[in-house]
Amino acid sequence: MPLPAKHFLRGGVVFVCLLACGAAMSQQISPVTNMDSRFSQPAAQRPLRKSELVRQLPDLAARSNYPVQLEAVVLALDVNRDGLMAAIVQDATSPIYLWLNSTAGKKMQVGHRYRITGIAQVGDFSRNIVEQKSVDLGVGKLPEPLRPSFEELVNTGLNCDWVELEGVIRPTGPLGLQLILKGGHVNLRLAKREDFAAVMARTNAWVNLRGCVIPYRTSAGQVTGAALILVPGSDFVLMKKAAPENLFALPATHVADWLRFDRRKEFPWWTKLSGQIARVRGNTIFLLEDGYGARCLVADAAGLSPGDTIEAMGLIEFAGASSLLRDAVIRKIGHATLPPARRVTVEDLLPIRREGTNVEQSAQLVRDGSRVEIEGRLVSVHPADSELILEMQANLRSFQAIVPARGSLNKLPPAGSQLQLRGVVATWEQSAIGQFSAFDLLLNSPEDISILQLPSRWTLRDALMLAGGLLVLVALAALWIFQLRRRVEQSTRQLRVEMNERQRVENRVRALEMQTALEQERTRIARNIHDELGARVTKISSLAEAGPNEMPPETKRKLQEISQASQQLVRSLDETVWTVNPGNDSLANLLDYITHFAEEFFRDTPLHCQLKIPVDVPEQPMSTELRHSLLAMVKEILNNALKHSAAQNIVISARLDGGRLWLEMHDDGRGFSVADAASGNGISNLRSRAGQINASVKIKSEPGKGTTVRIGAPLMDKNEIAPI
Amino acid sequence: MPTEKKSAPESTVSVSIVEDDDWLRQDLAKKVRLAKGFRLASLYRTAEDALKQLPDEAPDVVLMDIALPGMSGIECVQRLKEKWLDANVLILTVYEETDKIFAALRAGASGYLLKRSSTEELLEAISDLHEGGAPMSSSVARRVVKFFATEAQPKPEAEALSAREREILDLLVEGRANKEIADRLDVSVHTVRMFIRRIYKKMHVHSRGEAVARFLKK
Repeated sequence: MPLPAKHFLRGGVVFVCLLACGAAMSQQISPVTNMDSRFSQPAAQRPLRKSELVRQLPDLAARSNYPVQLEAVVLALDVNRDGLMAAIVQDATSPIYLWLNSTAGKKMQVGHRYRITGIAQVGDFSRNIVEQKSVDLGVGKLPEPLRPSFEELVNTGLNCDWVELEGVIRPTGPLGLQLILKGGHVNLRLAKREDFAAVMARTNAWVNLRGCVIPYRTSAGQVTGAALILVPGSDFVLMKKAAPENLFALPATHVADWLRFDRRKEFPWWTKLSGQIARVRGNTIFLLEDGYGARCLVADAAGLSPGDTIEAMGLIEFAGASSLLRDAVIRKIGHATLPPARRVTVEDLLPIRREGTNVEQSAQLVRDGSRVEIEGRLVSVHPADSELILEMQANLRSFQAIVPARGSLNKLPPAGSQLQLRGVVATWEQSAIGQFSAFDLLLNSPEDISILQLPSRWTLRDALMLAGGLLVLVALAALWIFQLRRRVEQSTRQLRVEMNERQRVENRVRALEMQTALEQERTRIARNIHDELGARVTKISSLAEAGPNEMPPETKRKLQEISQASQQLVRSLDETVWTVNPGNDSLANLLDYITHFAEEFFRDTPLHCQLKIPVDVPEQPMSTELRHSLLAMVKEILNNALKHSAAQNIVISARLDGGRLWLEMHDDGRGFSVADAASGNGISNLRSRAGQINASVKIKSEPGKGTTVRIGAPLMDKNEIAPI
Repeated sequence: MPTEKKSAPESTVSVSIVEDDDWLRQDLAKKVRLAKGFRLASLYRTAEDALKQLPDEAPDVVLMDIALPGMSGIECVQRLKEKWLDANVLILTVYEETDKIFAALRAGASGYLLKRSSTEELLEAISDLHEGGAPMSSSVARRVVKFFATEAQPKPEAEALSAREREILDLLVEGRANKEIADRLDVSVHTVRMFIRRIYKKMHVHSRGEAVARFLKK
């Protein structure tokens, strides 16, 4: 079974049913298939006597062949394509559909009253009655008709009801007729085919007609919003106003004038509008008329295109912002270039509503159907039927631009482009002027699109990837910095340790350098004194010696003493310089100097000195202190020997043994008692000095047997570094 | 040019003095001049002047101060010996500084003397030197021993020390006097002196050609 094709026009309230009348009728009759059920009626049941009760019969009861008996007036007769006959009858309660079976029934006349016996049965969406026996009760009285509006006609569940309607008769194809009502149109079905020509003759005439409502329903029993009027005969169609002889001869009206009309006054007659087509969309033509826009609904828009100048004849319908010329007949007059579109912003169309402000004061007034130019950013494109829908965005508001799909797909700019569009404003809702809640911009072709700016190559994806990349970089950098900082801290610690160590070494080196510098300075000063003083004392010595021979002996002796004292002074200086000079800090130097000292010391003395000091000694460092102390001790011993021993010979010997330097002074003098002399200054000085350098002193002497003094001094380990 | 010059009898020992200290120079000159058998040949204030004149003048003995301004006495000896191989130089020092004395001996000096020595000692030392002798103290002897043991490099023209020389050197190291050595070896003192002179010469030959700077560093 064909489903009614439904064409839904957005923003509109008009439903146009294209369902064929025959198909609608088959809906009604298809359930009546089993004629045998008429004879299996349960005798025990009392028949239903009101059609209303039949209509209200529950499904279960309706299926059990409930008997019906009622008296009703025939409103209309009907014959379907299969030749089955039916009637719509009405009793005191409600109309009902009646399948005619009896001979009497098949001869029913409209307006006659019958006693009808039959059984109730279930139709697709309502109860009806299968007639078994009818008795003509003569001419009855037709009920007072209902006068529903178009809305009520299609939406309030009228079924078989007797109605009276006013409108314009229009043909739809060779065998179809329509009645154009305020708000819509309904198809007409004439009970008697021979009446068609008579009614057709009233095309474009204003008529008043009566008939029964037969709603179009789906197979599931749902209302489709369209209806068929079964007109019993041409005598039920009364002409109230004849059709104009030449439709287009009527004077043209202006939309501006329409808008001044009082909507409550008489339903307007045919209206003529002259204008230019701005856009054709399906069966809707957007017409430009003297600065205003109007929509024309036509049965067929084929052959019409934007730019065409036309005359439209139709019926005005006011629906909010839209000015609609419905069921229009078009006559093409010519063609011209469309006028430039008015430049508006999206705010003009979709203004922000603020408390206490009049929208019209802050925005341009844009009417539905006017042609505008508007800017926006293309968000996306998606196809819909034969159109492409461009989702647009401008200043946080969204709208759709609709362009015919044919030849457009490849010419559209990429998403993200900033576009300037020219098209017709089609509001979604017909609310108050200038207060659209949404609108479409209807473009004729891609030529109505100007690209202001192509999308930046930075897409969201790119930006996200960049952000991600940057994030990774930042993370890496942070990690790097963290590690660097750790490394720097480590290095700093290490460096600090190294610096401390270096500082220590430097301090040590500096101390050494300072010591060396001090020593050098000391040596320099000593040497200066030594050289300078030495030269002068030498002069004194010479002067003292070179006295004249004839001077008195006393004087001569004194001069000689001066000379000797001077020479001792020079020796002392020499000794001091040797002692303080760190260059002499070795065993070899000490032994050389002892040799040198002994020679000088015993020069010009009666004491004969023999030296047993090895020439070749191992390299052995020796501290200044040790060197100085040992020399001092040797001097003390030699001095004692010279002064007190009265010896003729003295032997000075040196040897190395057991890590010690052994120095021995032996004279052949008169000797002394060691015990007696121990308390004397000479020996205690000697021991005191020895103690300071950790040396041993052994004195061996007996009266008359000479004296031997032995010093044992510890030598430094060669590898040992002198402590600082 | 010599600052002073005097003529004297042929039998005397001619002496030149190189000393920068005026008083000392005059004092030494006076001592030489007044002594019998000595003749003052010339006086020099600097080593440079002395080096120019001395080879021509050829005195018997040159008294050379070590600490001279400009060229040192040691360098002067070395250069003088290069020009005049037979020069007899007696080094004068304030102290018995072994290092300097030893360096001067290697440079070619034949003997040394402390400046504070008496007139007798001075004249004796000059005579000794003139007669071919040479003084050698124990400490200098120690240096000489060490020199021949370690520093001296074998050279074609250089002779090693003889056994007798070595013997004498060892006795000198012990501090024995020349007389004592002569007695021990049953030779004359003069012979001992001659030996010592030969030791000095050998040392000088061994040292010849070495940079003067090396001595000066000491």
